[in-house]
Amino acid sequence: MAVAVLQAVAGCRSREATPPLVDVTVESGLAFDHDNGMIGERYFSEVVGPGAALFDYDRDGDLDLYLVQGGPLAPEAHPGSRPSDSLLRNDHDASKTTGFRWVDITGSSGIDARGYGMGVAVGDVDGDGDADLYVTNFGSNQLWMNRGDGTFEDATTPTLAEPRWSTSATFLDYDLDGDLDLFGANYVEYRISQHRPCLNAAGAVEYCGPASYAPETDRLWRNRGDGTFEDVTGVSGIIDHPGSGLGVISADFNGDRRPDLYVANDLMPNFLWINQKDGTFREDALLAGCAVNESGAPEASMGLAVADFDRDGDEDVFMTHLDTETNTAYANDGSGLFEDASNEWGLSVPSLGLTGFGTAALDFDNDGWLDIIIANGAVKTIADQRVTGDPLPLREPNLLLHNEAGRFRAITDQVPALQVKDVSRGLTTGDIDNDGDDEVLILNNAGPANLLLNEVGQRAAWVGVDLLDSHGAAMLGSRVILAGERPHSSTVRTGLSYCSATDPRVRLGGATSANTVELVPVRGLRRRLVGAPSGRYLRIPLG
Amino acid sequence: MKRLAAILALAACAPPEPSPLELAPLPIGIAEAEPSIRRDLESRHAAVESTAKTTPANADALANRLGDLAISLFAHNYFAEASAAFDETRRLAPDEFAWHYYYGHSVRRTGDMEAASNGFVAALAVDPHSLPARLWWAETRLHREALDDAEEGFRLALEQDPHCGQAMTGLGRIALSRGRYEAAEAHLREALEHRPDSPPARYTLALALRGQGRLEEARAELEQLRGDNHSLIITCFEDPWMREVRSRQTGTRAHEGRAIRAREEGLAATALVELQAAVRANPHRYPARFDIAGLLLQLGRRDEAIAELEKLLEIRPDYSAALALLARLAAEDNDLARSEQLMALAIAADPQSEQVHVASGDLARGSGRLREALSAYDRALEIAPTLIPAILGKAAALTELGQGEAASRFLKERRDRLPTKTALVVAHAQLLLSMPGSGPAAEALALAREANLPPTPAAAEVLAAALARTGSFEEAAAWQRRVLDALPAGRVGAVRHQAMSGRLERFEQGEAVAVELDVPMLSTELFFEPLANSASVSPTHPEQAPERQVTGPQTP
Repeated sequence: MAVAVLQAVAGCRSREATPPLVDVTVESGLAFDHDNGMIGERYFSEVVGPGAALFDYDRDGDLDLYLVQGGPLAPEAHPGSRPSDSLLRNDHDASKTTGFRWVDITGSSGIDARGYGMGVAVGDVDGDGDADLYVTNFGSNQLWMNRGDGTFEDATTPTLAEPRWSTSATFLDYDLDGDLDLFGANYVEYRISQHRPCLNAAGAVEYCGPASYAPETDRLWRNRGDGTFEDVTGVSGIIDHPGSGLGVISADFNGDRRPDLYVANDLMPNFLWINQKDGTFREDALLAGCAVNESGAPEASMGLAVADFDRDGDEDVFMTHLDTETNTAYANDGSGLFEDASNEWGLSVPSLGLTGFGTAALDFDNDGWLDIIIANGAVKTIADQRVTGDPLPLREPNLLLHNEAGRFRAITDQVPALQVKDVSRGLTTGDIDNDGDDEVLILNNAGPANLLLNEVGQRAAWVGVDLLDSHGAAMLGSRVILAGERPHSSTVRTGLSYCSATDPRVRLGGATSANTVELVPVRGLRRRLVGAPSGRYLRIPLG
Repeated sequence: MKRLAAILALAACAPPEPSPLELAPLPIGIAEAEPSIRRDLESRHAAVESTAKTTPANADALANRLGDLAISLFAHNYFAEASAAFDETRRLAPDEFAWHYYYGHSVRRTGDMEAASNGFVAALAVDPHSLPARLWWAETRLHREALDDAEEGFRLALEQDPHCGQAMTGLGRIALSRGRYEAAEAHLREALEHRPDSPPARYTLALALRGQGRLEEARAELEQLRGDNHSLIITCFEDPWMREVRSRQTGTRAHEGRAIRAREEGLAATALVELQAAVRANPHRYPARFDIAGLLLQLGRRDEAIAELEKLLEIRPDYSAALALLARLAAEDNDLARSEQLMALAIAADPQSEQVHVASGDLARGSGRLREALSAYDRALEIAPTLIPAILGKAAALTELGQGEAASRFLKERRDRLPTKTALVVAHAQLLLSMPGSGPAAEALALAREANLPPTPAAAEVLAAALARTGSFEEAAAWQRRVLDALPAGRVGAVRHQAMSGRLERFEQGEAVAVELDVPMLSTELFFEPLANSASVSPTHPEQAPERQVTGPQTP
């Protein structure tokens, strides 16, 4: 008994001494600085990006990194004058405390992405098992096809070269024909050549907001099965509702085993596109109760996380908002109808005074309850920072919320790396060191990308599942359920908002040594795995 | 009742004797404020300092001066500073309702609903009969999901004002939160009887219906909300305190905001007054000057518009939109040399502006320089491949060059690249309809049908014209009716019935109606062309056409 108590105390001390997330940016060799191109004109688009993708481009079993870059925006700037996005390979390195280091292979990869970048989506477009990239820009987007030999080729067609201001995008198989289709969220009709300075209430020049411009139409492209796409924005019904889209995630919200779409719109009602199973979607967010807040007002929705936060088996929605609004959680009743659970789950108050962008659901301590991490950064000048001569006075700390059996508690004070004030935008998570827990990558506008190593998740038991289709690529949209007294589940997805892509492997905390895992593939029969071991990833082809 | 009474009792406890005023400096951001606002805040701040020196013991005088400054801070969105100042006035003059009330509002704007709630409680302690303070207290409690408090507040408010839709909506929202859907429905229907324009009430009613499984009814309510601003709360009281705040919003942005609203309501003269006030507040605000010029042109005050544009260019000589607009005006005055010079300056100022290239193309096309126009549109399309005015301009230029088929091919190619292509489908169909023969008309019809155009007036016009050209007169008439139904009732007025019959019966009458209604003439003309060209019908007596057998248009 006494030994147990001592161990418990020692454990507590250990946890106090070691923050759950530790900044290993320098140690891991991550040296990326985002260039937003600002020249003092306060162009709207310069404070919106960037995102990043964690994905295994070379299929060597670890996560590599794609980082979206900006560059000059001024009217006279030529796209060629912009730096390219970066592709970093994850190399094992026993000499590092992280166990890995990043190696920049952009030049040899063939990637030369010099658009003014916003975000990136990951999916196997051509069914060869390799992860391809769709890069969204303020300007024409690009599709980078993975050749499977460590190089990429620009496979952008006129259809996919969406000239509008694109933000987040996601791959999904909405028609269940076995190939990945693509949804792209577009923001507003803003062009540098039409730039007009906006003012705050006191008449000082300020960054514009979405209300200053007309919303854009999002786009849906259907994969013809050969890696080429046709624009089905019109026939699918997506064309009917323009919106100022910033975040998008695909999930089966109403339990009919068809991928639906949720789009977070900035200062407009959000969209819930319910798959009608005939190639069309119906926008039903107002009826579903997830378009506006509980008083019926649209909010400035930016980042978006979709997960089973309350462990009732369905996909809930969490969204980040402006500093004067609360972040919002919508609890799903399983049928695709939602109720605002922000206060009930304790998510309202911690977000006040912070403007949230990227967010993700992650079980950082593998206790079986999905936590929330938020990348924050203001959109309007913070005067105190302005007077110090800061050229981008929008800096705020980030936020980590621990899910304590359905009630969230801010624990940012335990993570010094999250207390650093920056203009954070994109955020992505993934098990970079393959130890069963999520690392966190935060993208800062006009600042560095910061990598936070998870130091606690691997201490708890977890089950990892890598669900694959017949080509060996992630079977997006499938669900993995860890059976138990109170089952919990997670969805295989790469789409992560804001503007980012995440590790498609599923990790479920709160496991035991032998677990029962239910697999619900996006196509095909459900399967049950009995006696699934913890502490390792199970590669399961379901194609 | 007891709960609020207890809170009020606590709030009413006698405060300690106020200590001397500690005046905070003005907000740091004021250095960047526009001069009139900065001067206003500085003078009010100086007045507080002066009072603090001359009568440091006069708490009421100090509170009044400081409150005056705080109201201005609030008006210019310095909410944190305003809240601190109002908090100080509360301390100095705890018996003054306004300071507690303002504090509640100001701190509410920072998102701190608990502090806001405390402010309104304190206001109620001073004036227990204040309906605004009671309702805002209830709203802030509801926001924090303190449902019992909020219910008490709304019920007391209803006792004071039985017609208060805001309180009824609040009770509906509370009932909804408790899962009492039928009770919620009753409250919300009553609220909508008093305020049918209340989006929160309608939205909450829809959720209450949804909760009862009445999804189609819920959907019908929500349809009424589409496109609405979903304004948060519609109050049921006059609020002189907040009116004072609004009256002090005299900055450029406030004027521009009011101008936008006026323009949306079609009040060009009002918008002009607001924009002129914006420019007085900030003479360097060139976007406002540009908008003033646009409004002056709209109001027929052309010379003043030109003068305004010239003033703008003194401030911002490279403002390409102004240069392009002046170029257009010079061309209208037949001063082609100046027009070309101005357009060249516009392009040089912003060579990446697709809008300027479109303007250049339009100018060239207007003066018959079609090849030059094509080059300009092509340049615009290099920058913005899906820019609809450039696409339409290029198609028109090609058509005017006698290359109708090339224009048609070009439009088809661009249509395929655009998700939002209604305008292009309409333009393409119109182009096809302008070509002789039945083939293009049939193609236009197929195009319009295939595109499944949204029922805009322009789209319906095209469809009607294509149908008429291909002989489907009944269906064409039905679509024409749809066009008319889509027009604002005020514009249709008494001539609506005349239009309905006139379009099928007499070209002249239809044309007159079209002019009166300001609907596109092209399709109106086309609509009647088959009648006029029909071998069995005299062009001058189209009313004898067999199509008159139609008893009435069918709903599409």
